[in-house]
Amino acid sequence: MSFDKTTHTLVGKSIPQPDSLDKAVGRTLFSDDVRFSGMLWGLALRSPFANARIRRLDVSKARRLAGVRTVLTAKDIPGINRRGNMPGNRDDQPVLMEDRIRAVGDPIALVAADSIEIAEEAISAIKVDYEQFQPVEDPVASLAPDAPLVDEEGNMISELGYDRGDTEKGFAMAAVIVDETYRTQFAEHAYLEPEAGVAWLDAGGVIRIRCGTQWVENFRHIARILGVSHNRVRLESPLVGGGFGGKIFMTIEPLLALLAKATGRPVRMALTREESILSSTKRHPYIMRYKLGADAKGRLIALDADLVADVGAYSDASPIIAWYSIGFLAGPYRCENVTVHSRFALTNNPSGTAMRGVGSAQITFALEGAMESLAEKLGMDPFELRRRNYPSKGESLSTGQPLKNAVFLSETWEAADKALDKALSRNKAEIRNLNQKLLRARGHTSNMTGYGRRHGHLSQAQVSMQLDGSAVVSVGVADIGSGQRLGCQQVAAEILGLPMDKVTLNTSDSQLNPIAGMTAGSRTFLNAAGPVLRAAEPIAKALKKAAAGLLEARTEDIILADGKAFVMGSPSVTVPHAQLVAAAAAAGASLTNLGTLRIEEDLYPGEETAHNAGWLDYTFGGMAAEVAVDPQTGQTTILGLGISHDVGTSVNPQIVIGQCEGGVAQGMGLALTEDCCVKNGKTEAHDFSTYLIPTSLDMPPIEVSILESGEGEGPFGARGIGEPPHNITPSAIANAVSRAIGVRVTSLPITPEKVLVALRTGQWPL
Amino acid sequence: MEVFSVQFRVNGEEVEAEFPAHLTLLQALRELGYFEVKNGCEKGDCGSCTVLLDGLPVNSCLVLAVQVQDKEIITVRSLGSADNLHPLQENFIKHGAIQCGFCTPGMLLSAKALLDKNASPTREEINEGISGNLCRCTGYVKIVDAIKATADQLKTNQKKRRH
Repeated sequence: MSFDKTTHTLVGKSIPQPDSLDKAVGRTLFSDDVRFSGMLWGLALRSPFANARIRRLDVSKARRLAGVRTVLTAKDIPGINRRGNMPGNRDDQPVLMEDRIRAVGDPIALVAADSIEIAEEAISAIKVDYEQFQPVEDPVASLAPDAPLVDEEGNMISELGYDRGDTEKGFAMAAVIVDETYRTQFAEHAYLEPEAGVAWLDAGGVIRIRCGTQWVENFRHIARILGVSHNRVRLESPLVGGGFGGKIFMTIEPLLALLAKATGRPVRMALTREESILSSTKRHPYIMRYKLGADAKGRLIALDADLVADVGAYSDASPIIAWYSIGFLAGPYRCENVTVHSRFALTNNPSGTAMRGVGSAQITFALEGAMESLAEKLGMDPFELRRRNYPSKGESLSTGQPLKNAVFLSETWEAADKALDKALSRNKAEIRNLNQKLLRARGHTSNMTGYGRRHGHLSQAQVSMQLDGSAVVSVGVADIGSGQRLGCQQVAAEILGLPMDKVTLNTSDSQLNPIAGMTAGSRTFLNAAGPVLRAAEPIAKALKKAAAGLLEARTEDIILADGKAFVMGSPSVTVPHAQLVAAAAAAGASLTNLGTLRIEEDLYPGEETAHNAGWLDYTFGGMAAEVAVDPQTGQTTILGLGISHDVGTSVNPQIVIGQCEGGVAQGMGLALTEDCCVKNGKTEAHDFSTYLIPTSLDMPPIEVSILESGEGEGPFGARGIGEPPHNITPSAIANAVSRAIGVRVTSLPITPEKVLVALRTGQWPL
Repeated sequence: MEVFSVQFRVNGEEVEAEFPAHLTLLQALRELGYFEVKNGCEKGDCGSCTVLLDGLPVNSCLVLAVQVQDKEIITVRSLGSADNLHPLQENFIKHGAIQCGFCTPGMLLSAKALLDKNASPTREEINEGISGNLCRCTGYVKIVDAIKATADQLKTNQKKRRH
């Protein structure tokens, strides 16, 4: 889809988010900011062990305490004791543990009491007799034939792969071969708002849950757990204090619902930071072996990638993430002989789930590191090597999927390099004062990130005109702060020709709104604003028709803008929207309309082996980093970062740039400091003094260069930009550090300790 | 449980309440309905619960409620209102410095305390001034932009007033 921005008035404008005002004056009510009379406190008893059996569970003393309204265990669950979480997984995660414990933080019992103090007392009055086992910690060992079973069905939850051409023959013909293994760590989403919410019984026997989530469709899983029909559960998400993938699949929603149903009273839960980090899902650690072969001219002629992922204790979203990773393993490169293979292994570690750049950030780090090594071995400029292997628009990825839109890989690489120069020019003073003994270097990288599911995706939204000419948009999408509501508002206002404040939003309620899917995967502008556009278009057409009658002109000559209609070329004679609404209604037009976005893509050759691995489209980008490494301390300082993506159409540049800057900061954390430090299945780094996300003092100058090919699948030709800036950052930093120290960085995070070992031994430590 | 009577002012209003000794100022303020004070970690790591205590930014999770006798507490609500925004609030909105918004109340108050102390901070000084407030969404760039713009604006206004 190609798009011409000049004919639109609101597209390309940096309009602020509709919720910023409330957030700035402190009146936004987040998940933990509402209270009901008679509200109880909910608490969970969680396992301190990663692998154990419950020999005996005694809640009798807790039940007898004054002020305790209920104590629930697995036996008290009225429906099915499985979280569900993602269709297609093993459905292996109990809501409350039955006998087997697979992870630290597994909930065993729930308490609702009159106060937090009583609830805490009740939790400590519960007696659990655990039989402890050695946790399975290593995903490779988990796949050994004699490994202890984490799950009765076996430890491998997914094995995928495909072959193209003849990889063996490719390597036999190669002038140069690189064979390297890369590793990444468990990472925490670290949303600033810990999990919290309330649940209560509403009229008609409906259980209502108000809890920050990225996916209100989880109401179906909750209904199954409660043993009620879908119409009896209503899940609504207030504005979410950060998600990043960690609030897609249910957090505490089922616990809240169970307690409200059992007591008939409103119940509140709010996790502490420690409980949040210890019990929540994480980014999967990947072990990736890359073997690349090129001919003397730098043509990639063989690629063999083998991935082992640590799934953690439960299958959760891992089966679909495995597909996404298969789609990315061969990268944005042209290669005739490809073998990719992945195995996703259960362990007793925290469960891996979606995290910004799902299944892609790890791969970009590994593949782009291996590409650097290949360039070195060839004695070739790293950009030249990549340029010889980038596919063009119309060519296919190794999965077989044709690239139907612009592929700006060279363009973004060059733009990122220029952006880095600009960033560095803002950091002159620091650079001038740098110790001359520091090891300085620049590193680059390329990346592709998918957005939009290819098959069977259906999302809907409703637009209603009000009698005074204003409009209400209803769409079941959650806003996690990155502009989801703004996107829907801006699209509706553009199509209907209304000022922004004449469009209000009604969102993220599973019963009141048409369902539009999860806020995830860089897809939300496509999947939520897309149906809004489709809902608004017929209404705009009816308004134009009414205007044509009133202004005695042809419908196609009518322009709707700023709440008025006029004939193209004669903007001084106008009719306000209120009058158009009246005329359109009198003519029998419907002023409420449901818009549907259905994605069903054609099959392509190779689909049979890479089924599900493709996305509707991809966002391509480049990044450049300059670092200074202190050989005495091993400390890496980032001097500047330049990043560039082709976003198709930059519908709201401030939002796009904000996504880039924020994504880069998270990527810096993944590159340098963030590590859950999981030992014996337990996240040792369970607060912000040990799990180190970047502070303002860690931020180097960042320069963002947005390119607009005009080609994308979202409204007005936009491409997804939520994840790409995060995916690409660790690899740019790692490539810069590798060059600075002369040793290939093969694991994250890049700690001073690892750098010192690398400088001393010439080998990057595991 | 023994409770202690404490009198203090929040956003200019007299408050008199009874608190147990262990209750933090963060918990007390939220119990009193000041939900704009956010609970992000209760360990003094994240700064989401920042309030001004006699004009100085503090993590309210690290102060006990019984310690604030006779003190003046400012939350983001009295920085400005929706129809009379403080220039910091205005610039945070305008510059896109607010994404999820959970860090915003604390961030705004740290910024206010910084500008009270240093009317024309450099970007480095701003980074220093807000370094106790974590933000996971923005990468801090637009937050620093907004604070810088506010400082410049206040300076220009002052000059205008002088002339």
